[in-house]
Amino acid sequence: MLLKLALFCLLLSASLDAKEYTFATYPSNTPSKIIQALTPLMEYLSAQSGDTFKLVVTKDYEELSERIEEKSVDFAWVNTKNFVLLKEKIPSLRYLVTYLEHSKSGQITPYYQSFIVAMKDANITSLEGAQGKHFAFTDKESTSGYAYPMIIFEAHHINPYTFFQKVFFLKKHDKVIEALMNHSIEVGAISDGTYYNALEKYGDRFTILATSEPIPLDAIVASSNVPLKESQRIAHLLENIPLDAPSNKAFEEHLGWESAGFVKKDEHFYDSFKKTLKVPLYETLQ
Amino acid sequence: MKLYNKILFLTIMQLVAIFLFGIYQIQSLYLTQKTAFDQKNLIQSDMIQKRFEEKLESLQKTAQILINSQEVITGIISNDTDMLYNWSKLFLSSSTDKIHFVDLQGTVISRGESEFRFADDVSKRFYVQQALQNDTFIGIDLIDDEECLVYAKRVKQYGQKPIGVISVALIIDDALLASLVQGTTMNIAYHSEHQTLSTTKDQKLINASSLHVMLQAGSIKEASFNIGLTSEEELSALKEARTNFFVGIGLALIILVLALHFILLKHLREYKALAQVLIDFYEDRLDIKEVMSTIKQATKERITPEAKKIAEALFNMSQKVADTQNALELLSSTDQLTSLSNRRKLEECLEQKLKESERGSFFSIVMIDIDRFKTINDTYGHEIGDHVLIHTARLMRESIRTSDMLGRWGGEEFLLILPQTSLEGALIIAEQMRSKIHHFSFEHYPQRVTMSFGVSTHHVGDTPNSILRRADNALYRAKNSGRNRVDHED
Repeated sequence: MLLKLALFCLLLSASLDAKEYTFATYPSNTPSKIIQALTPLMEYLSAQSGDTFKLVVTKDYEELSERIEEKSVDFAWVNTKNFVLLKEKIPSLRYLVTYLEHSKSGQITPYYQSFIVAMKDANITSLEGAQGKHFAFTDKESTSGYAYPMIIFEAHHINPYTFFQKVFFLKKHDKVIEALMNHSIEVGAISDGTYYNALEKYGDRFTILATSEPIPLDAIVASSNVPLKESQRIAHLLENIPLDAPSNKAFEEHLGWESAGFVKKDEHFYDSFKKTLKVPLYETLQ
Repeated sequence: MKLYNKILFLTIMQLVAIFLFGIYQIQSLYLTQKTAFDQKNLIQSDMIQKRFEEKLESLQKTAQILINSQEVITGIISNDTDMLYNWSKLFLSSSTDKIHFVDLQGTVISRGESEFRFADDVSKRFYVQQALQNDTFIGIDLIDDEECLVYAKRVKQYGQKPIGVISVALIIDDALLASLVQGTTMNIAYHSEHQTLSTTKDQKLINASSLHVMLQAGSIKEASFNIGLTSEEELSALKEARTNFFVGIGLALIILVLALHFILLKHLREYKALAQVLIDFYEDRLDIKEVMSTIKQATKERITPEAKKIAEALFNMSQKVADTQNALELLSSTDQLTSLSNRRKLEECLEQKLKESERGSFFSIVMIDIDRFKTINDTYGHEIGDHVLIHTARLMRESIRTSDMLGRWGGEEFLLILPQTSLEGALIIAEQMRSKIHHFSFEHYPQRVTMSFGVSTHHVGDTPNSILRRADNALYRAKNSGRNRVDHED
């Protein structure tokens, strides 16, 4: 009887310790798809932690940033730029893990890269040889389509707005490929994934003129109101998601991401991105 | 005027009147339709003109909306191809085929109609130069190798600083031309130094007129829009109907006149033939029997019922005339008492026989006289005398052949003409006749009646008098020889 009572007290104490966490993410796709993709991950965390994880998809980055700042969310999925900016803004923000992905090159990496590519038939073999050509970025908010290519240009002491005859903004990476294929531009900045997709689609018709440093993939962070021990526990659970876990399949099914789970890296892993914030801002607005 | 001419004239007059009335009616209808047709074409021309102006206005409006967008301004300044594309594609429609954003250097930043085609140089294009120099160009120019209606306007930041050019264009193609004339019977043709388009295969337009469009002179030379009809099909149908009517009624008129001519000829021929018979009768070319046979023949032929009735009536009338003529002839040639031929008839017959003898025939005559007839009259009265005359005549008639002619020559004297009879034959007949009368017993005359006969036969060169004289001489001799006997010429 005494034993039964002790066991009951233990269970009661455990249930009293269970918490409800809010897990927020940014709208990288339509909210319904994001919810479908992340729900298995929430279920995994809830099951493994004994806590309850509630998914929140914010309206935009700004809302996500505000909610992290005001600590109305406990965990968040943020992209690289936002992680760097948030970390500068909220030093107490705690890095947990970095998203892992099967890259098109066949490796599982927590990063990707930006390429400056040209059409082979344009006979451009180096970045310097692209002077006076037409060039396209994706858009100025893009990490791999603008920020990292700008680091590349800086390294080569190139101001793209004067180096090239004209610089266009095409919003999406695959549009840069299509513009290259249509010979509207001779050079463009794209992510490595876009490059490998184009390779599959159009064959070996592109020359890589320059490659960026690794661009860290998205990070999962914890608000400072989550105890350190608790955040480490959750980070550990994320690191140990099996490759064939339903959450990975859901990412691929609903978002097309070839997810391979998460890996814990150092916070300094994201320092390379800080350089992009220091790249000279060549305003085209006059 | 002849009946034929009268009928023909009146009928032709009526037909001509109908024909003229028909011409007047069809001509009035044609003129009404022509007026309506011209009115309709005028309305349609105005409609096409308006549609064309609407197309130009639509281009201007589209350009103006885009120019007023701050995002478009930003997109041009920042070379945001994607944003400009997304904006411009919203405005592409059947009235807007091309929207191009061009920077001040003449480089295309974005094409609404082709997402991945940009960055080419169009600075040499006439419309770009015009827009950059004069703020606006509206006209026809080549855009991407296609002739277009172009509205190009300089884009200014804050309404002051030029940052580029927007061109909104509509391709001049068959679809545009078709949309302009849709629902009308008109056709439109576009002609320039490079191409000729038309909504009809038949390039030639009837009553063609140019569209009155306020377009600036572009790089395309001799560009013009012409509207008109490929065929005046509606009017042609009416014209054809009018011609057909005229030809038809003309032919009908000719056919009717010919038909009338032949019908009249046919009918009048029958009447004319009947009339000719009467004329021939009147002019002694036909006797009444020939008239009757001719009319009878006519009634047996195919003849109209009306003419047949007339022919029958004429036939009946001729029949009556013939009967009357026969009766008169009989009356004029018959002795009323004895019913024998009279002296006139006998003379005619004798003349006839003499004529026939010239062709080889021959005849004899017998002059007969009742012996002492004056005594009978004086003794028994004229009634008995007549009784004796009647019965002796009957007895003599019964003794002769049908070809013979017996007549009363005068008083109690008779003449018998015997065709194809020789003197001997005549003597025999005379003798038989004498004997028969001699032995006949009269009902009212108690005594025997005798007769004397003088016979003569025809000689070449005889005249009526000569042969009669010889017979009379023979009769004289018979009388002198004791009467009741037959004597002949020497």
